[in-house]
Amino acid sequence: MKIAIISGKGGTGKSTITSALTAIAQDVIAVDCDVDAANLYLIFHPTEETTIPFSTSSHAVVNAEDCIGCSTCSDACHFGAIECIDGLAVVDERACEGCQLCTRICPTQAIHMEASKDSYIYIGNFRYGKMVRARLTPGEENSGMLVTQLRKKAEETAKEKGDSLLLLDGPPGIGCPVIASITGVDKVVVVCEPSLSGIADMKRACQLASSQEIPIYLIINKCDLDQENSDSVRAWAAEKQYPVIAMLPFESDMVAAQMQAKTIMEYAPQSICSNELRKAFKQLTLS
Amino acid sequence: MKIAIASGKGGTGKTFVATNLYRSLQKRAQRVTLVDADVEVPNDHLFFDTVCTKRNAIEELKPTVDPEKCTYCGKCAEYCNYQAIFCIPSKGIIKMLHEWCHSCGACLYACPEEAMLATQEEIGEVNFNQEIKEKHLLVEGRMRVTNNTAIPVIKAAIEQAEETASDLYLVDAPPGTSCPFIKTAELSDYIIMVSEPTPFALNDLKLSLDTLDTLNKPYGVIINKADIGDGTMRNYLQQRGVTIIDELPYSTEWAHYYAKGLIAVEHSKEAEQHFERCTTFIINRNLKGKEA
Repeated sequence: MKIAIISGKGGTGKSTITSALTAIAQDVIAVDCDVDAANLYLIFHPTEETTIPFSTSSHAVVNAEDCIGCSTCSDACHFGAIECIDGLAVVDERACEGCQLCTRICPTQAIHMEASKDSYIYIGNFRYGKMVRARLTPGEENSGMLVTQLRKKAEETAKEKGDSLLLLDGPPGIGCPVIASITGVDKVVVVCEPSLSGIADMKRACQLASSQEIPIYLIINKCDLDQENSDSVRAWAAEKQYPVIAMLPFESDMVAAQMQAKTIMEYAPQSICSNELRKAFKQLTLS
Repeated sequence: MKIAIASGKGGTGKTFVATNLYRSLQKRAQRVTLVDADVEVPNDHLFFDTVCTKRNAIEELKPTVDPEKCTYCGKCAEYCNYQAIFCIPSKGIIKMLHEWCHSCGACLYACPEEAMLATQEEIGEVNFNQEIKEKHLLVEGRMRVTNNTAIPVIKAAIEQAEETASDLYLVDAPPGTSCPFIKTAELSDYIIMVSEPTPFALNDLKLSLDTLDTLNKPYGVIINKADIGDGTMRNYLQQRGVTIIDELPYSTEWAHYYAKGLIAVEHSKEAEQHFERCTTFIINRNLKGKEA
């Protein structure tokens, strides 16, 4: 089974909750899909990691000797990434999205593609199974592509191991890396914080997951932050028929666990949050 | 002058800082525009009473197929570098997967039959929201749910905001360190990173600063909830030679205001003092001579 944890808004507790569910499950493949700001490894310290370099994008390079300055490429480029200056095509590497159109239409074949700097995918062991994570090289783009590759590796690892549970810690937002994180999963857990912004973002995340017809489960984190807002989330969830599988109150243990980079299950196994999360896990994996 | 409020890790207080700083700056600069560039999940509008005075649709090229002309040769799928065209020539099947389309237009060039149509699709909008009791404006970029790339909407929001002819644009940036953050930083003159002293946030802050260094952009840091930490973040930043603009306390009172969609500087004297300090920093660094 593949379960992705997302939230729309950042900082609502995705990684904290993913790490807790990992500790409850004991035998999992934990996948950190938040490749631009990966954090799970700070809790789980994976060892014996295999490193796989992966270039997330490529960009056009012009061979000045062959370029006749005809501007066919600059006219065609949808991203405004090529400009003809003094009879020579010049590529803005950062604006180039690597579509290759210019290499295909250049009448003198003066343009070729070069892979951008490598990002890295890591597969390692940790105390609850295998961890698959990545590091996007600073300044590199296209994190959606990296997430897609990361998931391929995770699914291969799952097959080798004969393991059934994949937990995917998603990135914030609802754009391409989130779409790449949830496509084809069995269930999505949306973590909501009962602030007006948390609620607005949770609804957008749910809208995205439901567009892919993925079953949605809600966890309300810091549920006592604002009672009125918390109630409105529950009422909305009931109307949409999304099960609310945990209500996590604000607990100082949760903050302390974060500061020490431990899971709440290990730091305070008898806290209210730990008990709620155990129940949530049962409900998630039951069907 | 455009100042982006950003953070590597989400939820460290970007929107909190952006909205409060906006209010605070209004007392000192003639005209301030708040630009919500967190277009995947835009929230700034929740904190203000506004009326929408203008809405601009953002459209992108999302080609479609004319079934009368298509011969299912598969050339378009071969040209598409994003796997956004699904074509089985032998079965006469073609399907455009718009959620993966990057609007590059390669398929239009590929098609030998002129069967590919250059259709446009709405991928988001830019909303101009006028504050009811103030002269200032919020410009919001809002990406359509299920669209994959936020970049064109971010770019449109920041560029179109210039229509408001302000002295200062505060740009609430998207989280992370990849394309949406990079695009916002590229279009801004100075970046304020908001972080908190947890191991997760410090890890992400380092990545963000590395990214900003590759872009050659000047930046400073506001440490939010500074008192939950042990000084590791402060030491790190001092060693790296990074300006610490302010350290905000951990306040449950401010968290409650935030949850209700209220601006802390309007309710807490302490918040007001902190954001006045940040405002002074911005004015001294970036806006000399433009004070109201």
